[in-house]
Amino acid sequence: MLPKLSLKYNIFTSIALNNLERNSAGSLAATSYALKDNIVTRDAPTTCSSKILANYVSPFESTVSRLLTEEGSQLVGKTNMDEFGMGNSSLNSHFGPTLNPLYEQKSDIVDLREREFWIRGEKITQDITFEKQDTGSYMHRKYLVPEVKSDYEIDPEMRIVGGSSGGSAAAVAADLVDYAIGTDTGGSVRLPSCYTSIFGFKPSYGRISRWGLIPYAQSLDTVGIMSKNIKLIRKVFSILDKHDSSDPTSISEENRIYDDKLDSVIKIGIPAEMSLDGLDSEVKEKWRNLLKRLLEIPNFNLFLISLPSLSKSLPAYYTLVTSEASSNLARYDGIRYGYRTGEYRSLEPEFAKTRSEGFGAEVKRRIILGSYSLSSYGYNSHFMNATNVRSKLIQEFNSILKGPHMLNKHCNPNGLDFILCPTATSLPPLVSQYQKITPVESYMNDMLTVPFSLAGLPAINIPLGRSIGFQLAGQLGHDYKVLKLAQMMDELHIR
Amino acid sequence: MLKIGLEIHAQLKSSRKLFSLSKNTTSLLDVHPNTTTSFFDVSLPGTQPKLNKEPLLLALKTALALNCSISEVSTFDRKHYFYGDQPLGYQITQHYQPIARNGYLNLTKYDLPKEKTIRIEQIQIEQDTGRTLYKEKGRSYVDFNRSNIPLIEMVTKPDFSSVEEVRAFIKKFQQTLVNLGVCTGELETGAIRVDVNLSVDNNSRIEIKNLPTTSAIVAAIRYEYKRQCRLIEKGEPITEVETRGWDGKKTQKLRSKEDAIDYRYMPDPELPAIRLKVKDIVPKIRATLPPSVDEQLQEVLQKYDIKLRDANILLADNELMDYYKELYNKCVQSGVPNPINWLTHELLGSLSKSNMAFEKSVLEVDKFVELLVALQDGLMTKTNGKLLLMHLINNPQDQKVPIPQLLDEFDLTKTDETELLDQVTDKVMFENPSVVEQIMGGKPKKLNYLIGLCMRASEGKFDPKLIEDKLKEKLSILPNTTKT
Repeated sequence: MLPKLSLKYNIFTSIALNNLERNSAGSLAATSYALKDNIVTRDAPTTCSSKILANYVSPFESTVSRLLTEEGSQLVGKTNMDEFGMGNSSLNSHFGPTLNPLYEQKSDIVDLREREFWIRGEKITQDITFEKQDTGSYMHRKYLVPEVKSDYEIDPEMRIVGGSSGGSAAAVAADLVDYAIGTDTGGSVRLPSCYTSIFGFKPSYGRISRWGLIPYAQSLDTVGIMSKNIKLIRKVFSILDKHDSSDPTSISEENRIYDDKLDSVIKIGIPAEMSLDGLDSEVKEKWRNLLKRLLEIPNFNLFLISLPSLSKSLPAYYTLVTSEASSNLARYDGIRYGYRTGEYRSLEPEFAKTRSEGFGAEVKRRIILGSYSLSSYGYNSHFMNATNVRSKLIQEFNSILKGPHMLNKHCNPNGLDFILCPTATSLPPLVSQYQKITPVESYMNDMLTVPFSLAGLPAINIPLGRSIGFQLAGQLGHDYKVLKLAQMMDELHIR
Repeated sequence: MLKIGLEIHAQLKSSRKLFSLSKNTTSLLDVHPNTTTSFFDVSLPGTQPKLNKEPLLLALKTALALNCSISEVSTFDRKHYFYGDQPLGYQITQHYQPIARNGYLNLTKYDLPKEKTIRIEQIQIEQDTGRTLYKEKGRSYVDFNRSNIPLIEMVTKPDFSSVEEVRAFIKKFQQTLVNLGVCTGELETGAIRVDVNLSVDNNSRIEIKNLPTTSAIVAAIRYEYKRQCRLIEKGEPITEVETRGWDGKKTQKLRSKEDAIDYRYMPDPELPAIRLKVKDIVPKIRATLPPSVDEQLQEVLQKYDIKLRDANILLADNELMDYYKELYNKCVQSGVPNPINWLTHELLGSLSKSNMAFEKSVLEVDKFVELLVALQDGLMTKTNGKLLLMHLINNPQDQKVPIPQLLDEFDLTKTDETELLDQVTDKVMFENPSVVEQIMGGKPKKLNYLIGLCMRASEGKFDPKLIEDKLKEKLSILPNTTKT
């Protein structure tokens, strides 16, 4: 079933064909999972869905995949995504688009080809990896990769799966795995979870190690967990929620909060800026139902709140992520690894041609935007302005949330426990419709997820009907409380 | 009027690199390329930097020795540019909040005829790049062993007004780093790299790069100063900031202000700030610093009664200094005069002739003392003493053999056999009648020439003084008109 669905929905960038030995005594022994293809593993290529890393095999393992393997979970494949995480549709991939399994797709859009490579020790070279070795000391790895059909057709009613962790969301939604690992920089776990009606949890910034996560924008990147089963999300989170000395932004052990006890009266804030205007009718109806149901419960208190900086958070977010991305992607020059054009003219160094050919259009657009924001012309007016908006937004969150804040221990005894808002303003757009809009219009889909990313807060998408979901967020560090309340709301069965 | 400021990069001698755990092999040139590189050093996707504390400590020691104030908070920034040996596409440096600021270094009577203070603007910690090697045409190789080695960059105020001051500062800076044990101090290996900022009569500032040695620095400044003076005389002073390179003979334009690189500095989004409790740690670090270069010079000059030149040689190498002190003390105990010349001239000279570097182990101190005692006791001539020294450093196994036995073995024992001396001097005088005539005719200094010939003819067996006396005796000229 897994390859069959992948032909239609193009969920994976690589599907593992080896049955690797597993720890059957681990706490996740009976589970299978999919891993977003921007997290490095030794047993499969890691491509970020980009031509520039199309054949790249990492010589080391990410902390996330190592911890999951240690607990016996089975990795079935690496999932397709928007190139380097840049997008919210999963249409921007070198391996072709990922489609939304909630909607019918009649014909196949890709073929699957078998590939293989060999690994040994810590040394990885193109020769060792992709050309057959005589010696038996190399480990053989076989996998399937998608190849886009030249004349594929997407059904007219097909809607986008969301992104950038679209492949991970689709793998869960299509019941191919028990859970999937995605990454969330500005909503990349929550939005596709919303569009595919699953839970998608983005923990507090710094809680899950980023060692082995190929960065898009490090000050915002987080590893997230997606599943139909909220209890499994909690279980997987408790395994990944560990300090890692390899990651300089990993939260220290003493600062981690494990408490999940909810107060007898739960105060939930509803940001006016995120809930009233601009919601499509389907979303508005579900939203109204949810709020009504919550008001019926005596120990839930709802408050309408206002965070003035929310209106500026989307432009601030795009300024910061593109700046960091332009810096992070500077290393892909074809000299040490990845795609290299092999030809150049005297006018243009080889790395320039390599980068022109190796990156997709959206990635190049964001590198240019970011380079401008960091230039001597744009630094103060763009980068510093955006940094200031971010600081102000964090202050506003701190002033309304109860806390204590995980790092600065800021407390507000009369503050709120949670913030609740829709994850997306509308149903996922039709693929045909999405392909017509401008890049800037497409950035608007991140409006409701970005603020929590800028502040590093834990947030989860709670599915509520087909391709509709709501976000529950808490103060920095209160991840277990967010998961606990999400579970309680799930048990209310408002669908 | 000439105004100069310096930007000096120095590699720190930490055991590990700046942000990874690979070995720092900075001072070793014979390490095979790309063998001391970790995943981070070649910027593999998904790796992250982690600051090691040792380079930070070495930078703090340097900052204190240069009288800087240490920042409570300093941060790391990314400086972007593309180059084959820059694996990240940016260098991690400290642009906005450097580790230390506002220092100075005094050039004293030991450095310059007239004392001067050079102010230091700031010191920052940063990564070194890899090295590009051009071996054949149209192809370059990159060695990432140097990638991510810790550097400090020190920027002075434009306080220099002469080449002599620049030269004295560089020497003093090198000595200071060596004295602290934070850097090898060598320009030749690239452990220290100097860029010069220069302006004449307050015209635009010129930066000169690619200056591999002190003599290149001096020559480039002189060249650039003359070039600009000529332009000023012509009424066409330079009006634009530009960067120039040194090709060994002249400075050449590399780039002007228009095509200056925009480095797009950005605060590093994942490296935490360095937060220091300055009041606590500064006294603790200060307590670990050795006496300053000036204090040590003063002590050495007074205690050992040696020349400034020799004191500077000792100060450039901690091991050599310790070696000298031990040698000196043992010589004093054995009644041998100050061995400084034997160390700085003969031993270091022999080593450089043999293409060897000084290490304590090249000659055991006790063996050196034994040789000097034997010399003092008249067992050999000074010439043969030098030969034996050269032999001992090139044949370390013979350092176990007692000196008298070696003298016998190589027939180097000083002899005073009058008969042989007579024969040699007679022969030389006979073969050089015109020289003899010149000496007799009132050119007594020519006697040295004959002494040299006699030494050679007797293979150094006779003391020169003996030969001199014998020749004088035969020539019947007055003593004390010549000097050996």
